[in-house]
Amino acid sequence: MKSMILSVRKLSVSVADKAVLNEIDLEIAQTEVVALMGANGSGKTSFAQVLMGNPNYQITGDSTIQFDRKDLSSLSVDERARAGLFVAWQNPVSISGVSILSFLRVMHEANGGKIETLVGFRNKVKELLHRVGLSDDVLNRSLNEGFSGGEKKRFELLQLLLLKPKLAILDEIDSGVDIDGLRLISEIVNEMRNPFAGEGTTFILITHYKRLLDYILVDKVVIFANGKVAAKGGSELVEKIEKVGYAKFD
Amino acid sequence: MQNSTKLDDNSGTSDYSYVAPKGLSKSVVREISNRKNEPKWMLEYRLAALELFNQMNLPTWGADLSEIQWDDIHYYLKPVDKPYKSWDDVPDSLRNVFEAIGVPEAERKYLAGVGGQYDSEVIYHSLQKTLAKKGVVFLSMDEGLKQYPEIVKKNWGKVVAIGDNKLAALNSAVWSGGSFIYIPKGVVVDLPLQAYFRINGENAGQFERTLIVADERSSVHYVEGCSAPAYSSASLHAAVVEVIVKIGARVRYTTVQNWYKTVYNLVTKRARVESDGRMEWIDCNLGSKLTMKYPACLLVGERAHGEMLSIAVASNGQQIDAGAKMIHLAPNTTSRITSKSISRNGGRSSYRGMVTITPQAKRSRSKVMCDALIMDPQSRSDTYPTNRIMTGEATIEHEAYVSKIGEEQLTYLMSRGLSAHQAETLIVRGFLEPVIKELPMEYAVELNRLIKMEMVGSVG
Repeated sequence: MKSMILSVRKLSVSVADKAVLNEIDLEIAQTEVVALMGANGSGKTSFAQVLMGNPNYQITGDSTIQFDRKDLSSLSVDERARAGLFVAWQNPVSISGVSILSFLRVMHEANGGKIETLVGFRNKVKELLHRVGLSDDVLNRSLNEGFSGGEKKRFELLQLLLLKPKLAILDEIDSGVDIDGLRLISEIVNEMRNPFAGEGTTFILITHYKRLLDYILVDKVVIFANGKVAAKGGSELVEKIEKVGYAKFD
Repeated sequence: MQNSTKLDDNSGTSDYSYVAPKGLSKSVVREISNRKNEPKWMLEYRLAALELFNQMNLPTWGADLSEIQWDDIHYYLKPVDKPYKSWDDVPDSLRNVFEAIGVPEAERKYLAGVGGQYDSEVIYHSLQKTLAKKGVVFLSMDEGLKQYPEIVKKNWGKVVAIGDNKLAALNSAVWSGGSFIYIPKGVVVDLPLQAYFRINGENAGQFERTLIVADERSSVHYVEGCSAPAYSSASLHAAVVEVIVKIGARVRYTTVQNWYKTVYNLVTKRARVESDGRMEWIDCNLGSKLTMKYPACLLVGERAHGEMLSIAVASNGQQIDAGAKMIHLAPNTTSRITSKSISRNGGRSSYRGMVTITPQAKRSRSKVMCDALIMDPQSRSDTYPTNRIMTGEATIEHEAYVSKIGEEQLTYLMSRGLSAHQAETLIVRGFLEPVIKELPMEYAVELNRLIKMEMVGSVG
């Protein structure tokens, strides 16, 4: 029996006094792949941001969130990240003047990664760039600045590969991505949940569409509607959504 | 160390062989000139400047200078030459300070006055040899006046007049130290000339005076910098820098300074640029209680270009009022000002600049860009641009951006495991990158380190 990496109980959340999540209960076991689906505004991104610790989201009521047997609410955003929680942002933020390479260096070291030589690290990053389908000249560009939507998603995947988190929440990683991109995402997810060595990564894939799930076999599907869990089940739920749409779950 | 005097103020680390009595008078000025064995014209110049200083008023614009205790300042301090024979002789207290703030070893030794056997002197001497072959002169201002009295006299006070402003008059009366540089016609100096290699003079004085003459088609990059907050313990720093860029010559003047947070830093820097000449000021100011500094270019020849790139960081209790002046006096001249300022922990930074395009400066162009980053609601940033265009055939572009540090940017970086402090430092470095990338490698590293130190504890 796998142990739970994430247990969320009665999670209620508001943003600027507006309720966005209402008594969410969710349990996810280690190395499971969970699809989190729902219409726009159903609370999917809020869920990701709350787990990440975004200070704009206030947890209300007697909610509890346990991540890897830790009480998540006592940890700051950066402590959560260093504890192994990764969120690929739906809209990654750009920061001018901060080169990709220097950002990755600081990130890698902040998470306990060792950098023996800068050349070695640079080569490692180059390999990862190729892996996610970005070219070398990205190295000297500013963080996410002037990146296309697809490039931003690919760079989020690169960070995922470098960090090897315990739990990765990929927020609409499939939007603006072509077929090759979908294949890449599925390869990465399948490889990271069953690595050659070490612990695997657990995934929550936030998506609107079934098409990503044509490439990835999921263990569980959770559907949000109006900030609540509207349905839970296996991949058969995906077929149902295709047929009846999200409106049925309201 | 014989006959040394220890100042009882917060200097702590400095010993001097002569300390002038506090306050300013004719006898103090005479004493300075006497001790330096100066020619008569310099003494007369100093005395005339003193007269002007006494008559002139403080500027009524900008920052408040009324708290300066003019009578409580030592206007001349002669450092003990080479007080320590080796790094091992330097007191631990001083060594620890340098180590704690991460000053590079060569610079530490220099700051501690270690002479004789250490590398920078060797570097300096070999540099001197190479330069001498090309006819380049690189000396302390005092030494320059001794060895090249004619060149100095001919160019002295020609760019910054004796009574240009009250602080320039003060410098003219009591100046000591600084650099004298002469680059002959057509000579291109490849390596930056760094003030800190020049160890046989007083160059980190309170009232240093620098004169650079770049003859026709020559090129030089001068760097003055010192990252130690112990740079000067005195309460007032009033320097004058004059640069003469002859036809087709190119001068870059880079400053990286970090002052004690008690210092009034009031500096007059100005260049005169002839036809096809190019002057670039790169100015990075950290520390000080109050800085007022507006490096200027007088573009007197056709197609002359003036450039200013500056960084100012104002923290708690600090005010930095800085900018640039570009005066276009000939046709087809161009100028560009890029000012980056950061205000944090209640600090206040202002950009104050002036671009003047005179009637004869037809078809001249100027571009001014001011970027201000405000890190918290207690801090403040202001922009005071003055543009005067006296000809129809000229253009000035002005862009000003004020940004607050992005909450979302911080959260994004923290969601990757960076602490709030690491995230903030990275964002600030990114903001300053366009200027930092222009600095010589070791100064860029230094500045990055200083900024990192400066940012400590800024995010709760």
